[in-house]
Amino acid sequence: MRDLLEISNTIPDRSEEMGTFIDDEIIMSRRIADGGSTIEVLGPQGTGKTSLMLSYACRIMEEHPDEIIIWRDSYKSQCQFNRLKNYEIFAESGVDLEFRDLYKDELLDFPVTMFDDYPSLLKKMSPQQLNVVYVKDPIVGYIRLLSFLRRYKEWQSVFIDEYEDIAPLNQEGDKYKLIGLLGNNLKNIRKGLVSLFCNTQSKSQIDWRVRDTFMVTSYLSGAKVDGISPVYQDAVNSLDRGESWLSWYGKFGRINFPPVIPRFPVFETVDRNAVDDLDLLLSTM
Amino acid sequence: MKKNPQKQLRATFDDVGQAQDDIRHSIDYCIRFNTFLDEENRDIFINRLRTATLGLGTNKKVFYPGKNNTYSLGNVEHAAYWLSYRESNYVIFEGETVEIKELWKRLRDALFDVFPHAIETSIRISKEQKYSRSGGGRSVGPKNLERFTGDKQYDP
Repeated sequence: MRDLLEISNTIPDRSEEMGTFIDDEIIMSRRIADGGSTIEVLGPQGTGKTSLMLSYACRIMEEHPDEIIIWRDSYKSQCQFNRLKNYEIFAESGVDLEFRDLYKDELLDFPVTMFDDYPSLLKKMSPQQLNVVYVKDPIVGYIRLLSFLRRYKEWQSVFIDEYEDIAPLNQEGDKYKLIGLLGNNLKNIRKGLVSLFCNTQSKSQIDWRVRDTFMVTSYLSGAKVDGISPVYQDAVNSLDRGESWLSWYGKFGRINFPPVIPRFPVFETVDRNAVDDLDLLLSTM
Repeated sequence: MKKNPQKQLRATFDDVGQAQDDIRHSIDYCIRFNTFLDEENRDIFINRLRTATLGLGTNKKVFYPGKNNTYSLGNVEHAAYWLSYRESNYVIFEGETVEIKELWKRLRDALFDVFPHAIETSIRISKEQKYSRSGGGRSVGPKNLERFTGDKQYDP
């Protein structure tokens, strides 16, 4: 009986080995022949999607100190980029940003750099910090930005928090066509030396043309696993916070990451010039 | 692997294995001396039986083939409880007297069918097994997180 136990202990755990491989060779490698990588992070609220993305952002600052890191944050929700101390806020001309402290009910003042076009935006950005970009319309703005970055021959990483805002399901008209273009772009974006990190709570909120174009999928505890994924749903359910399965085509491995907790002040961002969706809806009722 | 999973796994595995040894030794003793369990050993026997079979004995029945008829003692769990409460070294089935060591032998054979399943279950579904893999994997965090977050972290 004891011999059986000794044997079972000697069976190698390959999940860590594969996790290390995917992390080193796919996500963090910067070979021009391979280009960048596209990673999506799936997980319910509070399981560490943003922590994982910020962990990768810090890793990139450590390992690739010249790389530009772009961070996308939502309007009217707690700012996530503030968890790191080095960031710079950029806003498209026409956007009037307001920062509201969520606890003290007072307005905060942060320096905001305005930009007109993407070439000038890229020149203003610096490595070793999060370059937070606010645009008028996330769908139009970020699809244009990604399309521009594809042709810009420098290494960049783009982190999109809640990417269902960029490629939502059930859009109509021009926005539907734009998201189709994004789906086409995503397939080639890594060749343009761009690494794209996106997170969402559920893939079902994402347009179907964008959904399956990512190279690596990271499942956090409780995430709904794709039917075609080699990762079992049970394995994902049994994860603790701070752990993740990485799935890269047919291979999968395990990683863990530290919590990156919020810093003071905790605030949200509002575009004063944007029409409030709720007001708009109520005015038509 | 921060939680020393192999040590935790060993806890359940060894416990079930040890309980099976205890049960086997008790039954071997009863067979050798054709005897029943006294009150103190009965408590220990039932306690260890729970761990040794993990309740998996309910699917297997124990029979004693007598001269005139085949008598059922119920499933393994039931037979073990029933036998542990005998207070003489023989049992009478429909007028046929049977030495209690014969029934202990039947129970031991049936338990030997159940024990491997209990061992397998102890490895496969134990809580320790689930947590034994916890914390695994490569850390993808930066080497020095404080360098990026500073000291103004919100800690409720």
